[in-house]
Amino acid sequence: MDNDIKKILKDKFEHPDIELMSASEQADNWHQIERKLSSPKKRIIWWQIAVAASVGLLIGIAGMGVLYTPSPKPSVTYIKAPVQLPPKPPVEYVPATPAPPVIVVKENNGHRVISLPTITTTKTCDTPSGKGNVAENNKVIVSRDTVSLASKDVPVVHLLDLNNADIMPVVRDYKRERVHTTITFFQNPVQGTGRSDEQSSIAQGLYKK
Amino acid sequence: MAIPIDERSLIDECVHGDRRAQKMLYERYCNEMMFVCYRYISERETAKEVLSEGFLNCYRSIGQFSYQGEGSFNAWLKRIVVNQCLMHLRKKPGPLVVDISESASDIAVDENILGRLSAKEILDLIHRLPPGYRSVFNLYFFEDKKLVEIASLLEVSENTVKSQLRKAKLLLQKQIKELYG
Repeated sequence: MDNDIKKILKDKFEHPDIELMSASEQADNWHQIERKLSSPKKRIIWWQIAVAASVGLLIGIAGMGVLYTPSPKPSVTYIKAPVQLPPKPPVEYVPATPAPPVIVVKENNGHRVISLPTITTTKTCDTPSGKGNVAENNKVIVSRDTVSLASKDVPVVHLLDLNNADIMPVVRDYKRERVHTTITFFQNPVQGTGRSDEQSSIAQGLYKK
Repeated sequence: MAIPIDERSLIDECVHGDRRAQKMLYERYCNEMMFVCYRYISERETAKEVLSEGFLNCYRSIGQFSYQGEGSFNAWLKRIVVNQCLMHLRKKPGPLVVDISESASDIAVDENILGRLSAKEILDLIHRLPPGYRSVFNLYFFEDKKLVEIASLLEVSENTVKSQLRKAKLLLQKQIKELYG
C-alpha cells in the first residue's frame, strides 16, 4: 500500500506540472550562488595578504631590534636567601578540665544565703551549715549532719535559697543514719531568704530527722 | 569553449570550477530541487535560501562525486538538498520530531484521490502537516528511506518514526477526505 503511494508521488514530482520558481527568481538565486562561490576565494586572498603583512612587520621589528640592541649589561641574579623558620614546638595535648562550680555565700538580713551556679559534676562542698554533696543534674544531697547543724541556727533549705530550687522528696538512709534530700537548682538562681510553705514543710521534715 | 550538454561532461566541467557549467547544472535541476526544499520547508523564501545553500554545497564537494550512470547525480544532489533542509529544520527551536512511542497500525491513504491530485495540490497537503510529521513523511515516501534510516537521520527511535508516520498518514487522509473526498 505504501509502495503504491510512493509510486504515485514519485510520478507526480519527478516531472512536476508546475514551476515553483519563475525565470527571474531562478536567475536571482543563481546570482546569489555565484556570489557565494566567488567570495571565499577573495576572502582567502585578503586573509593571506593580512597574514603576510603581519609576518613581515614582525620580522622587520625583530631585525631592527637586533641592529639597535645596546651591549648587554652584566646580568644580576638575585638569589633569595632561604627563610629558615624556627621549628614549631610540639603541640601538647592538654585535656580540657571542667571548671569547678562556684559557690557564693552571702549574708542577707542575718541569714546566710548560698547561691549555686549550674552544676554539672559531682562535688562535695562546704556550706556554713555543714557539708553537702553537689551531685549531677544540679542536685544537692544534704547529709544528716548538715541538718542537725542547720537546725540550731537556720534550716538548711533556707540557707540554700529555695526560691529558685526544686526540692525532691526526702529519702532516709537507715543504714547510714543519714537523711537525704535532693534540691535541684535552676540555672540562674535568684538569691533570697524568703521561704514558701513548701520550703517550710521540707525544712520541718529535715528537723524531725 | 563549447559547453558540453551531457550530464557527465557538465559535471566534469563543474569539478574544474567552470561557472557556465555550474549554471547549466543549476538550471537543469533547480526546479526539481526546489520541489524537494518546498516539501520540507513550507516558507517559500526560506526554501529558496536552503536551495541556494544546497547547490553551494554541491559545487564545493562535487569533486567527491563519482558518476555511476544516469540518475546518479540527481540522487546525489537530492541527498545534499534533503540534508540541507533537515539541517535548517534542526536549527529551529524545539525538537524536530517529538519523541513519543506509540503502537503503529497501518493507515490507508486514499490512492485514487491522491492519484487525481496535482503536484501542487499534494504539496499543499504536505504543507499542512506539522514539520516533524512532514519530515518523516517526506523521507519515507519521497526519499524512500527505511524507518531505521529515518530514525538515524532525525536522531529519534524507530518507534517514534513509526508513530509520526502513522499520524502523518492519518492527518493526510483526513485532509484528503475533507478537501477532495
